[in-house]
Amino acid sequence: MSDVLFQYLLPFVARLHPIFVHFPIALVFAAVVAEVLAFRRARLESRTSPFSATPDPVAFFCLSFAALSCVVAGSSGWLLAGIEEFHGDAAETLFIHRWGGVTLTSFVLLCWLCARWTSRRHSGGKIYRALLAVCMLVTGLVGHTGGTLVHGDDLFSFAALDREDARASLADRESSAAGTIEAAPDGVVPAALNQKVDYDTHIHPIIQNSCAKCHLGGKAKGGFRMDTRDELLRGGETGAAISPGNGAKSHLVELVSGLDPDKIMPNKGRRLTTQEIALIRTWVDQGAIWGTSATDAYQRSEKPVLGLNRSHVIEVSAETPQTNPVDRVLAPYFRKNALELPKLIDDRTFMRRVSLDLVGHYPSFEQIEEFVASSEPDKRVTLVRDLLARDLDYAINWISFWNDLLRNDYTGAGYVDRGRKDITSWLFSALLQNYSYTRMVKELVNPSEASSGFVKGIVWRGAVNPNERPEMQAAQNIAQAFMAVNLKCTSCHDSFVDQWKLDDAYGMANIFAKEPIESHRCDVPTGQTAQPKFFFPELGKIDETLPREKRMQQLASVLTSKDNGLLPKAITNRIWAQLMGAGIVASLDDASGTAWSPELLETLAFELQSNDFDLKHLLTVIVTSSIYQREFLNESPPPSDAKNVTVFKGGFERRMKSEQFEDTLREVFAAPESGTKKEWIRWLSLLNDAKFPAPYTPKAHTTAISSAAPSATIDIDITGAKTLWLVAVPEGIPLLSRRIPKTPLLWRAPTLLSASGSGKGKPGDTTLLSRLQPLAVGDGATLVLDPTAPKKELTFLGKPESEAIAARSPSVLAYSLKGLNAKRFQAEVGFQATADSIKGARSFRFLVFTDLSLPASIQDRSSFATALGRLARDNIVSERPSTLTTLDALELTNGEEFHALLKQAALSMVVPGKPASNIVDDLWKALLLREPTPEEATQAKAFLVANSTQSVQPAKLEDLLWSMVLLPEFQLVR
Amino acid sequence: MEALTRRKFLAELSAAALAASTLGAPRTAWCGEKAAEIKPAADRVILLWMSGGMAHTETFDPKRHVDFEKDLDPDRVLATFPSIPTAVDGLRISSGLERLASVMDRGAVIRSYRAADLGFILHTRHQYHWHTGYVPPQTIAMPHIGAIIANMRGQINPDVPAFIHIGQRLELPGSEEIKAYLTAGYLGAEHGPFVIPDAIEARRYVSPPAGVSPARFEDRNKFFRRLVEASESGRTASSFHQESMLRSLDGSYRLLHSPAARAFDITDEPPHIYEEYDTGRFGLGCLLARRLCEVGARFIEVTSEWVQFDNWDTHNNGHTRTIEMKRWIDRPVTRLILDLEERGLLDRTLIILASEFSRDLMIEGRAGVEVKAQARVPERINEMRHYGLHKHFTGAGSAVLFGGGVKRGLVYGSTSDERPCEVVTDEIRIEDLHASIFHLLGIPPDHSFEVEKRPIYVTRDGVGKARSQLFASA
Repeated sequence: MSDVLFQYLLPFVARLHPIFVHFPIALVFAAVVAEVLAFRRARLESRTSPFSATPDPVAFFCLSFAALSCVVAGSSGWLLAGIEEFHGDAAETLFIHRWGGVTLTSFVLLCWLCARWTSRRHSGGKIYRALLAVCMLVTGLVGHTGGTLVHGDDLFSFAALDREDARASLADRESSAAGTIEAAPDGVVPAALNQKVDYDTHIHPIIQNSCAKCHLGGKAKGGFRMDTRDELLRGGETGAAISPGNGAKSHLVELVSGLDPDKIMPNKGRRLTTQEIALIRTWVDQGAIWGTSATDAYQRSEKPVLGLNRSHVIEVSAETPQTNPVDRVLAPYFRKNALELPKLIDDRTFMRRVSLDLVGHYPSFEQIEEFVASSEPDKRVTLVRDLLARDLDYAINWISFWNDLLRNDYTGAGYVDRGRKDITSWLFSALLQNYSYTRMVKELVNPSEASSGFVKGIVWRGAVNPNERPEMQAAQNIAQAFMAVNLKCTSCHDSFVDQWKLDDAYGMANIFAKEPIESHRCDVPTGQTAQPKFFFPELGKIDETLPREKRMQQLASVLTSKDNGLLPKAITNRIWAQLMGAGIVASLDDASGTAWSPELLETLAFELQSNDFDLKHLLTVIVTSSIYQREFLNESPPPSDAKNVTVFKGGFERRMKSEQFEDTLREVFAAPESGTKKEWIRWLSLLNDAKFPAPYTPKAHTTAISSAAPSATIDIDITGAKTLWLVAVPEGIPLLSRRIPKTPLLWRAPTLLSASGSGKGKPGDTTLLSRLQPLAVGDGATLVLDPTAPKKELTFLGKPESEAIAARSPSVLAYSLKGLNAKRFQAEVGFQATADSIKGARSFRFLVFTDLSLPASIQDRSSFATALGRLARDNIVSERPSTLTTLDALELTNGEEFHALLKQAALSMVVPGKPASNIVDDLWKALLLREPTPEEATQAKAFLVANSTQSVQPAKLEDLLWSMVLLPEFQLVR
Repeated sequence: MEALTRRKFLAELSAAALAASTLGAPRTAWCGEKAAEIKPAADRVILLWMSGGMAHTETFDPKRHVDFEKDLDPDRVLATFPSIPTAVDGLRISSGLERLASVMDRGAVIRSYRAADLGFILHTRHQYHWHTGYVPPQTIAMPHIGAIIANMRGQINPDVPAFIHIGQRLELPGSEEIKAYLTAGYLGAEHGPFVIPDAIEARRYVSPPAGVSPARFEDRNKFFRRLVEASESGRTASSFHQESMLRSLDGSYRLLHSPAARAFDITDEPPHIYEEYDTGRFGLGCLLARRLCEVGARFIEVTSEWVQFDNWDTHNNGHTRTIEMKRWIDRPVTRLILDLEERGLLDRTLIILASEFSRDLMIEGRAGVEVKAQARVPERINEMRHYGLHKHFTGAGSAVLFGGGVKRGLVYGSTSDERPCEVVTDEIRIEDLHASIFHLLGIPPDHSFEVEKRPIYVTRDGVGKARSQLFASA
């Protein structure tokens, strides 16, 4: 008896579940309708309180039966769940459905009891009605989950409807081409189609319609599931379903084509049409590229949380009394993880580290000694403040970071066709003036002419893929640089790896589009156009009716709104990585990534936000923290694509930036400048905008020279200078502008005087050394020669180019003064030409600099810089390569530029009669900021000279320099 | 004594090398199915790059030619050279390539390459597309095919860079666009090209710096090692950065001291061979390529050099200039094939001769589309300078494969004999051409690397399919 019960009766009852469930659904709904009608009646009759009235009899009747049917449906359902197998998402849905059913039954019973109470006691009417409403809601939910189990999860979604539409229209199109929609004749595999077949557009709708009931959403009839490409490849009990590249021989195609009449799929319902089979076959032929419509094997990361999580922000409290926010978080972090803090570093190491990090400046031995000797209690804090007050050095140092992030470069793909625009002058002045980060973002997203290069992107001539249009580049770059969100995948298809959709990317792009851009999925037009929107629409709406400029303005304010916590978090993570060698979230471009300490990220981001996005404040907080003042780990930082979060034990040792390396060498060696004229002009134009702050103040400058006041005299002391720079700057015109008038001008009859070196004259005598070459050699200017003729040639340092120095563009001449012992520079400057030929000319200033240095961060990327880790900036560079490759090392072993620099340095350092040991001492102090150990001193001296009477050869010195600057001790920021 | 020091140095660094070798390893392939192991037919590649657009009808796919005459109707001209027979029965190529004609039985001509239609033509975009398989711009830096092969197959000789690029100066106009694809991109600088702009100078790139004698260079290195040992950090525990730096420096030191370094010196070659190759910088590039191939370079590209309006970029005087370009390639490329054959290397070396697109006299772009023309064609040709294929044509193009695993004497695909001389049969696009090249090197066309959490395939979206008809054994 019990056998019969378990084998047949119970399963039979269970299978009736789908029928039973309709009773409670209908009855609860009917009860609600009855009550609503009663309510209306009561209102018409103006009864006082229709809400408190006794239950409507019809409603009560329905409810009673609903309660009964609930119990039946629930029990049968419970049985059914024990029989059928569900996997994956379906199993989860089942769980919800099951317990939802139980909840519903309880609510309906409760409601019924309440209704009874109300009928008898004439009170509790409101509670009854509220319960009834709840019952209806729960019915809906439970019904929906039940439906999902039976029909698949997007039965009611708009996506499903869209797909139906797409499918219908596809079918229409095809039927008009082929005549009618026909089921395929059995036993024939249709020919491949001559078109690109896309999974999402063509294949998924077919699977959804014809295969889903048995093979999708966790259902696996015959052991076969179609949720992922892997599952298709694996196939079911009868083997692999598809073999990519060979549609005709794929089992799936054979089955749907009916090659074996006994095994036709789908085995129930409508057969596939020839067209549908042809699509599947062609899709497999083309490699069975997967789409995003189905669930798939990729683990999609969650959408990042937009707001700052204030509960993570650690405030000053009894347990965390530290004033520095980093310390507040890390003290408990190290305690909790039972980690030992790295050792504190000494003043010497701290000063070197913090100087390089904040201003890219290598301190001198004397500065370090002074700092070490200082007994001021807050000397480190004072040092940080002083360093950050050096606006110009700060800008020179940090422009490299921003150039990388904003892919701003001076050369690179796109410039050839004017398909690219640099933002250097804007960026430089933003850094000089320490714009708040939000101001920077605003001016980049909604740009002025000077900052427009960022959203302009890189435009190559010719047709461009839809996902790389300039508007899309703007979308991608804004998302990546400011939000650490990757819209790159998403600009081609819904992302496999996170939650972003095609629509998010096109919505962003359409903010920048003059005409709305049609969305393309994997280069196939979708026929849809996304509304302009920011990909977190909750931050604020972009009004699509507004013109482009206004939309960009809206985007700028939406991006920088206070609720956008990702903005401060992304930049905080990047800056932390700059200073500590690795991010708080390992990937700097992944807002969804896991932080090793969410508290730290949120606390610092909050600190930045609540201090008006002052980046220098953030830097101060980090470099004055305890952890920054501790030893860096000399191990490899976790890779940015690490799957697991690594426990933080301290900052990481890292390479000096290429710009810092170069600038340090030039400064330590005071080597003559390299760089082309173009780069000098770039640099001076930046300085020009900045009004030449110290230490770049010119030694002399003229008031404006114009046709009205055509000349001026310069006479300055240049004692001790190693190089001399003569510059003519047109007033009121950016130096990079091409609109500079053709005006002949020159340095007229400049004179260089030196103390007499021959020993014949009396002290103080001067000797005329040389005439300088004129600035302007083109445009009709002529060279004025002094009849007393030059006695010595000056070394010209500027790199002559085909476009010779001419008055047409701002002019720069550089000379080496080495060995001249020059004391004074005198020159008359002005226009060479007659008043006629300078009609309409602008006015100019003439400037004289000595020992002007051209920062590497402003120069074009050389092979030397590349070897030291500077990359091309055709794409955003979030991280530079952390290690030296063999080819890089080769560049350092025999690269021309590097060796020219070393050679010059060696030449300028050899002073006749200076003993080798002094040279060694000086070098160790300058480069390693310490005295050599006895062993090092012995080694180095022995290398330089065979015996102490020998004088040091420049070649030996050059080799010593090479060896020293390649020492890890010099190259690393420790 | 020297050997001892060196060995000691190497021993000290072995731990570092071990640690860092994992860094340079290719990143994990994506989770997709593991393609069946492909047995490589070739283990090295020489790509001979005809930069600027080599007209197919003037080279490997000759069509009806019309000699120059006054008042010539340009419409009649499909080619400006007559055709000549080759070592393969029935295969004819354009005159001026007589030597190559004699070795066509060592290779296969592909006549049905179709370049991408990118609208208003920019050479460097098509070059980018050819070399990476992706159309620029791209959201991430795509690697050159040489970098992919260098990454996947590694170095043959640990002293010789895997990927070497010969013949392109990188400070000319348009160079920035070349740099955009002359890179290892997302694979990392480790797999990037060793760039030799001029073959004659190659020795310099693997020599001590100018003005530094070998003895002095040796002294310098010894002293550097002593300094490292003497320094505090040199003695203390391992440091990731320190080891990686020293390992790379050692690698460069090794290259400079390796016997392989001599291969970079083409003047070392017997004069009669040198002269045979010496048709200019390209020819000498072929000689350098042969020498480097012998010592174990994995992928070598020799380019005729991209110079706007120069070399194969014939915007005027095309006929006369093409005579010169053919002279550049005919002798050295033939010699290269024969030399490799003589050394038993041809079977293992895949030689590819290709160009970014073809040229036509009348059609800019491809037939049936309006693209801004970049060369003017007069109604009637009266001057020699107008006689030539001056427009950019993407409707068809030729590529020639020799050696490693290639079916010999094959003619693959065809184009129509009347204008537009577009592909008629067996059209092959870059994805499939790359897939075929990869196949010969044992690399599945849908191999992928994980970049920014997503798979990037070695052929676009992994769709490339090798054309087995091209292979000696399918």
